[in-house]
Amino acid sequence: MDQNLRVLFERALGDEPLPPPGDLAQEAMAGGRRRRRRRHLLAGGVAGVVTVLATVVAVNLATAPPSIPTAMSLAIGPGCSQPVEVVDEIAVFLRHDVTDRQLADLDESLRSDPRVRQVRFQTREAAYEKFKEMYRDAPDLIAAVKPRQIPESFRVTLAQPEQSPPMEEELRRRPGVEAVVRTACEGRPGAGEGE
Amino acid sequence: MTEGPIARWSRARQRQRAAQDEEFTEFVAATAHGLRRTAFLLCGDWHLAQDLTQTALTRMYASWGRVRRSDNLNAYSRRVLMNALFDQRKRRSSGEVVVAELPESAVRPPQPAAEVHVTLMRALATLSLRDQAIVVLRYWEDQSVETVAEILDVSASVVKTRSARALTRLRALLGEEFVGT
Repeated sequence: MDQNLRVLFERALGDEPLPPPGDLAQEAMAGGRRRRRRRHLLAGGVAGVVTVLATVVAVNLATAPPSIPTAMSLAIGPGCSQPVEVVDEIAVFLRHDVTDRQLADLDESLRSDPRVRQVRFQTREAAYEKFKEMYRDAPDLIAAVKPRQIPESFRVTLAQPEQSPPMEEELRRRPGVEAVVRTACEGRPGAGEGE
Repeated sequence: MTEGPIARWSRARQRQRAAQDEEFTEFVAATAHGLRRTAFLLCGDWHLAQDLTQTALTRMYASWGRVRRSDNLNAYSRRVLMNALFDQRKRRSSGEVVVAELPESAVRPPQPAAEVHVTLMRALATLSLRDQAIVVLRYWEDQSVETVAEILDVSASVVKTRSARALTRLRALLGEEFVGT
């Protein structure tokens, strides 16, 4: 009886089409990563790899809300002289009053953008920790900056760096974005390599 | 400098991730085909079956660090698939259109063998989704009563009684087709 049922099942599957083109495992992994990050983002937890830039802007923030040109020059200047690992990414600093919705929209559109190779979210906390570490010999500065003054940011790595300028323009116009800074500078030789 | 330990840590993590990704890729290669067929038997639509398979695998990868240690990955994947299917039914019944139909489905010519399997699929469709799942998992996938119970989160005795009833029903609907051929 079960055997008959098996035969019927096999027939029902008789017109099975070929699976669609594309690597199912790769797609599932890409989707799974998005899902995982979104989960972390919603939980407000993910630190990612901490880079140096938000802290530089934070110096600026310590006194007044940052003007975009100042933020940019500060971010690019000292950023390049620091032994940072990342040499070419776009830092998308978020406004302090960015809404959850705007944040989620940005996250979603960055992650689904084919020009984007990698997106990381840098939390306020992670940026503040990095800032404290960087300026540990300037206790006055640390004392002057409150964690809430540090902006959150997305760290975007592009598949092709030449696509950066139009991408930056687009991102600048998005609601909730304070400033967009490209950190294209030469990494110090061996920077970030522990061996 | 400060990058030393961080870089080491991130490299160790990268290696670990690469190993897990490889493991997941192997898992997909071994599972996807069967998962899609089971999904098809439960929804009767190959494109939806493909979507459900992809959804299930995506969800599994999102928790792969935990999921990979599961005793019975095969059963786990069926459980995730069933959840995806239940979610899909729920969304559909709440009026939202979610089935993404690929354009080529429209031009796929009808298969000659169509009538034969429509019979079984129609008969199956008269059962509740849970009973369909019980039949497919038990009699197509040859899963044990205990495993089916675990996948569907019901007791073993429910699986036994429901599958017996479902078979009686199918036999009545399918008539000689069931006994013959």
